[in-house]
Amino acid sequence: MKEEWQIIADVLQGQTHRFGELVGKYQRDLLRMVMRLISNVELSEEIVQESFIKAFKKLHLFEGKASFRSWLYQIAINTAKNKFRECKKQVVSIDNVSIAVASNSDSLLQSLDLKTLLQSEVQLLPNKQRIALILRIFEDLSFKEISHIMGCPYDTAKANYRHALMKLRRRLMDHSHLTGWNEIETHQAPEFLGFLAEAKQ
Amino acid sequence: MAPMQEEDWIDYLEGDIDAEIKMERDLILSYSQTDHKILRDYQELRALLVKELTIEMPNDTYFDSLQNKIMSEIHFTAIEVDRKECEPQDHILPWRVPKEPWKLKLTQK
Repeated sequence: MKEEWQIIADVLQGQTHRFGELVGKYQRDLLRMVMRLISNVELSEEIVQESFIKAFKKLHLFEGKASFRSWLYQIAINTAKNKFRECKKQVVSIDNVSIAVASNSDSLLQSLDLKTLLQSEVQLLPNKQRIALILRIFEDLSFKEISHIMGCPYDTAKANYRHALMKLRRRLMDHSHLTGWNEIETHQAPEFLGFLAEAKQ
Repeated sequence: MAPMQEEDWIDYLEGDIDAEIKMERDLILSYSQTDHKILRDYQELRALLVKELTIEMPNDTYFDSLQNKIMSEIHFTAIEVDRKECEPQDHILPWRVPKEPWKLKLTQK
Protein backbone atom coordinates (compact mmCIF):
# COMPACT_ATOMS: atom_id res chain seq x y z
CA MET A 1 0.00 0.00 0.00
CA LYS A 2 2.83 2.34 0.97
CA GLU A 3 4.53 1.55 -2.30
CA GLU A 4 1.35 2.40 -4.16
CA TRP A 5 1.09 5.78 -2.47
CA GLN A 6 4.67 6.44 -3.45
CA ILE A 7 3.88 5.60 -7.06
CA ILE A 8 0.92 7.98 -7.00
CA ALA A 9 3.03 10.72 -5.43
CA ASP A 10 5.74 10.19 -8.05
CA VAL A 11 3.21 10.36 -10.90
CA LEU A 12 1.82 13.60 -9.50
CA GLN A 13 5.35 14.95 -9.32
CA GLY A 14 5.76 14.32 -13.03
CA GLN A 15 7.05 10.75 -13.24
CA THR A 16 4.28 9.72 -15.62
CA HIS A 17 5.93 6.44 -16.55
CA ARG A 18 5.28 5.16 -13.03
CA PHE A 19 1.57 5.10 -13.76
CA GLY A 20 2.42 2.10 -15.93
CA GLU A 21 3.09 0.17 -12.72
CA LEU A 22 -0.47 0.77 -11.59
CA VAL A 23 -1.77 -0.25 -15.01
CA GLY A 24 0.27 -3.45 -14.89
CA LYS A 25 -0.98 -4.21 -11.40
CA TYR A 26 -4.70 -3.68 -11.98
CA GLN A 27 -5.46 -4.14 -15.68
CA ARG A 28 -6.28 -7.85 -15.38
CA ASP A 29 -8.59 -7.40 -12.40
CA LEU A 30 -10.27 -4.46 -14.07
CA LEU A 31 -10.82 -6.21 -17.38
CA ARG A 32 -12.18 -9.29 -15.65
CA MET A 33 -14.63 -7.22 -13.61
CA VAL A 34 -15.79 -5.21 -16.61
CA MET A 35 -16.21 -8.35 -18.71
CA ARG A 36 -18.64 -9.63 -16.11
CA LEU A 37 -20.69 -6.48 -16.49
CA ILE A 38 -20.49 -6.21 -20.25
CA SER A 39 -20.19 -9.45 -22.13
CA ASN A 40 -18.28 -7.92 -25.01
CA VAL A 41 -14.49 -8.14 -25.05
CA GLU A 42 -13.87 -5.18 -27.35
CA LEU A 43 -16.17 -2.89 -25.42
CA SER A 44 -14.68 -4.09 -22.14
CA GLU A 45 -11.18 -3.27 -23.34
CA GLU A 46 -12.35 0.18 -24.40
CA ILE A 47 -13.82 0.74 -20.95
CA VAL A 48 -10.64 -0.40 -19.22
CA GLN A 49 -8.52 1.97 -21.33
CA GLU A 50 -10.85 4.89 -20.70
CA SER A 51 -10.94 4.12 -16.99
CA PHE A 52 -7.18 4.20 -16.65
CA ILE A 53 -6.99 7.46 -18.62
CA LYS A 54 -9.65 9.00 -16.37
CA ALA A 55 -7.85 7.73 -13.29
CA PHE A 56 -4.63 9.34 -14.52
CA LYS A 57 -6.31 12.66 -15.27
CA LYS A 58 -8.04 12.72 -11.89
CA LEU A 59 -5.22 11.21 -9.87
CA HIS A 60 -4.86 14.37 -7.80
CA LEU A 61 -8.44 13.79 -6.59
CA PHE A 62 -7.74 10.36 -5.15
CA GLU A 63 -8.06 10.92 -1.42
CA GLY A 64 -7.06 7.49 -0.16
CA LYS A 65 -10.30 7.03 1.81
CA ALA A 66 -10.71 3.71 0.04
CA SER A 67 -8.10 1.63 -1.77
CA PHE A 68 -6.82 2.71 -5.17
CA ARG A 69 -8.33 -0.50 -6.56
CA SER A 70 -11.79 0.47 -5.23
CA TRP A 71 -11.44 3.93 -6.72
CA LEU A 72 -10.44 2.45 -10.05
CA TYR A 73 -13.39 0.06 -9.96
CA GLN A 74 -15.72 2.96 -9.26
CA ILE A 75 -14.40 4.80 -12.31
CA ALA A 76 -14.73 1.66 -14.44
CA ILE A 77 -18.32 0.97 -13.37
CA ASN A 78 -19.36 4.55 -14.10
CA THR A 79 -17.57 4.41 -17.45
CA ALA A 80 -19.28 1.11 -18.24
CA LYS A 81 -22.69 2.58 -17.38
CA ASN A 82 -22.06 5.54 -19.69
CA LYS A 83 -20.80 3.28 -22.47
CA PHE A 84 -23.78 0.98 -22.02
CA ARG A 85 -26.15 3.90 -22.43
CA GLU A 86 -24.39 4.92 -25.63
CA CYS A 87 -24.52 1.40 -27.06
CA LYS A 88 -27.95 0.61 -25.62
CA LYS A 89 -29.75 0.22 -28.89
CA GLN A 90 -27.30 -2.36 -30.15
CA VAL A 91 -26.53 -4.29 -26.98
CA VAL A 92 -29.90 -4.34 -25.21
CA SER A 93 -31.97 -5.36 -28.20
CA ILE A 94 -29.79 -8.40 -28.91
CA ASP A 95 -29.76 -9.47 -25.28
CA ASN A 96 -33.47 -9.00 -24.87
CA VAL A 97 -34.31 -11.18 -27.83
CA SER A 98 -32.21 -14.12 -26.71
CA ILE A 99 -33.30 -13.93 -23.09
CA ALA A 100 -37.00 -13.50 -23.94
CA VAL A 101 -37.00 -16.59 -26.11
CA ALA A 102 -35.30 -18.70 -23.42
CA SER A 103 -37.63 -17.61 -20.63
CA ASN A 104 -40.79 -18.29 -22.63
CA SER A 105 -39.92 -21.75 -23.79
CA ASP A 106 -39.99 -24.59 -21.27
CA SER A 107 -38.46 -27.06 -23.66
CA LEU A 108 -35.58 -24.72 -24.37
CA LEU A 109 -35.02 -24.24 -20.66
CA GLN A 110 -34.74 -27.94 -20.09
CA SER A 111 -31.91 -28.15 -22.57
CA LEU A 112 -30.00 -25.30 -20.96
CA ASP A 113 -27.04 -26.33 -18.94
CA LEU A 114 -26.38 -24.92 -15.51
CA LYS A 115 -23.74 -22.49 -16.72
CA THR A 116 -26.03 -20.95 -19.30
CA LEU A 117 -28.81 -20.70 -16.75
CA LEU A 118 -26.60 -18.96 -14.22
CA GLN A 119 -25.19 -16.59 -16.84
CA SER A 120 -28.61 -15.53 -18.05
CA GLU A 121 -30.05 -15.21 -14.54
CA VAL A 122 -27.15 -13.04 -13.40
CA GLN A 123 -27.57 -10.82 -16.48
CA LEU A 124 -31.28 -10.52 -15.70
CA LEU A 125 -30.62 -9.09 -12.25
CA PRO A 126 -31.18 -5.37 -11.79
CA ASN A 127 -27.91 -3.50 -12.37
CA LYS A 128 -27.26 -2.58 -8.74
CA GLN A 129 -27.85 -6.13 -7.55
CA ARG A 130 -25.67 -7.56 -10.30
CA ILE A 131 -22.82 -5.15 -9.55
CA ALA A 132 -22.97 -5.90 -5.81
CA LEU A 133 -22.96 -9.63 -6.53
CA ILE A 134 -20.02 -9.41 -8.94
CA LEU A 135 -17.95 -7.27 -6.60
CA ARG A 136 -18.61 -9.52 -3.61
CA ILE A 137 -18.38 -12.99 -5.08
CA PHE A 138 -15.93 -12.57 -7.96
CA GLU A 139 -13.82 -9.65 -6.76
CA ASP A 140 -13.99 -10.63 -3.08
CA LEU A 141 -14.52 -7.07 -1.92
CA SER A 142 -15.87 -6.14 1.49
CA PHE A 143 -19.30 -4.53 1.76
CA LYS A 144 -17.56 -1.35 2.88
CA GLU A 145 -15.55 -1.26 -0.35
CA ILE A 146 -18.62 -2.17 -2.38
CA SER A 147 -20.58 0.67 -0.80
CA HIS A 148 -17.79 3.06 -1.68
CA ILE A 149 -17.56 1.85 -5.27
CA MET A 150 -21.31 1.99 -5.77
CA GLY A 151 -21.67 5.28 -3.98
CA CYS A 152 -24.32 3.98 -1.61
CA PRO A 153 -24.64 3.29 2.14
CA TYR A 154 -23.15 0.09 3.57
CA ASP A 155 -26.60 -1.39 4.28
CA THR A 156 -27.76 -0.67 0.74
CA ALA A 157 -24.74 -2.48 -0.70
CA LYS A 158 -25.51 -5.47 1.53
CA ALA A 159 -29.21 -5.36 0.63
CA ASN A 160 -28.43 -5.33 -3.10
CA TYR A 161 -26.19 -8.35 -2.62
CA ARG A 162 -28.75 -10.23 -0.55
CA HIS A 163 -31.55 -9.58 -3.01
CA ALA A 164 -29.34 -10.81 -5.85
CA LEU A 165 -28.54 -14.08 -4.08
CA MET A 166 -32.13 -14.63 -3.00
CA LYS A 167 -33.39 -14.11 -6.54
CA LEU A 168 -30.82 -16.49 -7.94
CA ARG A 169 -31.67 -19.14 -5.37
CA ARG A 170 -35.36 -18.94 -6.23
CA ARG A 171 -34.66 -19.15 -9.94
CA LEU A 172 -32.42 -22.17 -9.45
CA MET A 173 -35.08 -23.87 -7.39
CA ASP A 174 -37.43 -23.39 -10.34
CA HIS A 175 -34.94 -25.45 -12.35
CA SER A 176 -34.33 -28.14 -9.81
CA HIS A 177 -33.64 -30.66 -12.57
CA LEU A 178 -30.34 -28.84 -13.08
CA THR A 179 -29.42 -28.24 -9.46
CA GLY A 180 -31.13 -31.03 -7.57
CA TRP A 181 -32.55 -28.42 -5.23
CA ASN A 182 -35.99 -28.95 -3.80
CA GLU A 183 -38.12 -27.31 -1.14
CA ILE A 184 -37.53 -29.11 2.13
CA GLU A 185 -40.50 -30.31 4.14
CA THR A 186 -40.71 -27.99 7.08
CA HIS A 187 -41.88 -30.36 9.79
CA GLN A 188 -39.42 -30.91 12.57
CA ALA A 189 -38.59 -34.23 14.19
CA PRO A 190 -40.63 -34.68 17.41
CA GLU A 191 -37.55 -34.88 19.64
CA PHE A 192 -36.64 -31.33 18.64
CA LEU A 193 -40.00 -29.76 19.44
CA GLY A 194 -39.42 -29.68 23.17
CA PHE A 195 -35.97 -28.25 22.68
CA LEU A 196 -37.41 -25.54 20.43
CA ALA A 197 -40.00 -24.58 23.04
CA GLU A 198 -37.26 -24.23 25.63
CA ALA A 199 -35.09 -22.17 23.27
CA LYS A 200 -37.98 -19.77 22.60
CA GLN A 201 -38.35 -19.16 26.32
CA MET B 1 -37.12 -16.54 19.16
CA ALA B 2 -38.20 -14.89 15.88
CA PRO B 3 -37.95 -17.15 12.84
CA MET B 4 -34.84 -16.73 10.77
CA GLN B 5 -35.09 -14.95 7.44
CA GLU B 6 -33.09 -15.91 4.39
CA GLU B 7 -31.23 -12.61 4.63
CA ASP B 8 -30.01 -13.64 8.09
CA TRP B 9 -28.39 -16.74 6.65
CA ILE B 10 -26.76 -14.77 3.89
CA ASP B 11 -25.21 -12.49 6.52
CA TYR B 12 -24.11 -15.59 8.44
CA LEU B 13 -22.52 -17.05 5.32
CA GLU B 14 -20.72 -13.80 4.57
CA GLY B 15 -19.36 -13.63 8.11
CA ASP B 16 -21.01 -10.26 8.56
CA ILE B 17 -22.44 -10.79 12.05
CA ASP B 18 -21.31 -10.36 15.65
CA ALA B 19 -19.75 -13.33 17.42
CA GLU B 20 -22.70 -13.55 19.83
CA ILE B 21 -25.24 -13.67 17.02
CA LYS B 22 -23.13 -16.28 15.24
CA MET B 23 -23.29 -18.50 18.31
CA GLU B 24 -27.08 -18.20 18.39
CA ARG B 25 -27.30 -19.14 14.76
CA ASP B 26 -24.93 -22.05 15.18
CA LEU B 27 -27.38 -23.32 17.77
CA ILE B 28 -30.30 -22.95 15.39
CA LEU B 29 -28.43 -24.84 12.73
CA SER B 30 -27.92 -27.72 15.11
CA TYR B 31 -31.65 -28.47 15.22
CA SER B 32 -33.37 -26.77 12.28
CA GLN B 33 -33.33 -28.75 9.04
CA THR B 34 -35.05 -25.89 7.22
CA ASP B 35 -32.43 -23.33 8.19
CA HIS B 36 -29.67 -25.82 7.54
CA LYS B 37 -31.03 -26.37 4.04
CA ILE B 38 -31.28 -22.65 3.36
CA LEU B 39 -27.69 -22.07 4.44
CA ARG B 40 -26.51 -25.05 2.39
CA ASP B 41 -28.33 -23.77 -0.68
CA TYR B 42 -26.57 -20.43 -0.41
CA GLN B 43 -23.22 -22.08 0.15
CA GLU B 44 -23.77 -24.18 -2.94
CA LEU B 45 -25.03 -21.22 -4.95
CA ARG B 46 -21.91 -19.25 -4.14
CA ALA B 47 -19.71 -22.19 -5.10
CA LEU B 48 -21.67 -22.71 -8.34
CA LEU B 49 -21.34 -19.09 -9.35
CA VAL B 50 -17.59 -19.16 -8.83
CA LYS B 51 -17.19 -22.50 -10.61
CA GLU B 52 -19.53 -22.01 -13.56
CA LEU B 53 -19.00 -18.34 -14.30
CA THR B 54 -15.24 -18.27 -14.71
CA ILE B 55 -14.04 -15.77 -17.28
CA GLU B 56 -11.48 -16.85 -19.82
CA MET B 57 -8.82 -14.17 -19.71
CA PRO B 58 -6.51 -13.21 -22.57
CA ASN B 59 -2.84 -14.12 -22.41
CA ASP B 60 0.09 -11.99 -21.23
CA THR B 61 0.82 -10.72 -24.74
CA TYR B 62 -2.63 -9.15 -24.87
CA PHE B 63 -2.05 -7.37 -21.57
CA ASP B 64 1.39 -6.14 -22.62
CA SER B 65 -0.26 -4.64 -25.68
CA LEU B 66 -3.11 -3.15 -23.61
CA GLN B 67 -0.66 -1.58 -21.21
CA ASN B 68 1.29 -0.07 -24.11
CA LYS B 69 -1.90 1.37 -25.61
CA ILE B 70 -2.88 2.92 -22.30
CA MET B 71 0.55 4.40 -21.61
CA SER B 72 0.80 5.75 -25.16
CA GLU B 73 -2.41 7.65 -24.65
CA ILE B 74 -1.32 8.83 -21.21
CA HIS B 75 1.88 10.15 -22.77
CA PHE B 76 -0.27 12.76 -24.51
CA THR B 77 -2.53 13.41 -21.56
CA ALA B 78 -2.18 15.96 -18.80
CA ILE B 79 -3.28 15.55 -15.23
CA GLU B 80 -6.16 17.97 -14.76
CA VAL B 81 -5.06 20.09 -11.84
CA ASP B 82 -7.33 22.82 -10.63
CA ARG B 83 -5.71 25.32 -8.28
CA LYS B 84 -8.85 25.49 -6.13
CA GLU B 85 -8.86 21.72 -5.66
CA CYS B 86 -5.28 21.86 -4.46
CA GLU B 87 -5.72 24.46 -1.74
CA PRO B 88 -4.35 23.22 1.58
CA GLN B 89 -6.90 21.20 3.49
CA ASP B 90 -6.89 19.54 6.89
CA HIS B 91 -6.95 16.07 5.46
CA ILE B 92 -4.05 16.78 3.16
CA LEU B 93 -2.31 13.69 1.99
CA PRO B 94 1.40 13.34 1.30
CA TRP B 95 1.10 13.83 -2.41
CA ARG B 96 -0.76 17.08 -1.96
CA VAL B 97 2.13 18.59 -0.02
CA PRO B 98 3.69 20.34 -3.04
CA LYS B 99 3.20 24.01 -2.39
CA GLU B 100 2.74 24.86 -6.03
CA PRO B 101 0.45 22.07 -7.20
CA TRP B 102 -0.52 23.89 -10.38
CA LYS B 103 3.00 23.16 -11.56
CA LEU B 104 2.07 19.50 -11.61
CA LYS B 105 0.12 20.04 -14.81
CA LEU B 106 2.17 18.39 -17.50
CA THR B 107 2.54 20.13 -20.79
CA GLN B 108 1.03 18.28 -23.69
CA LYS B 109 3.57 16.86 -26.08
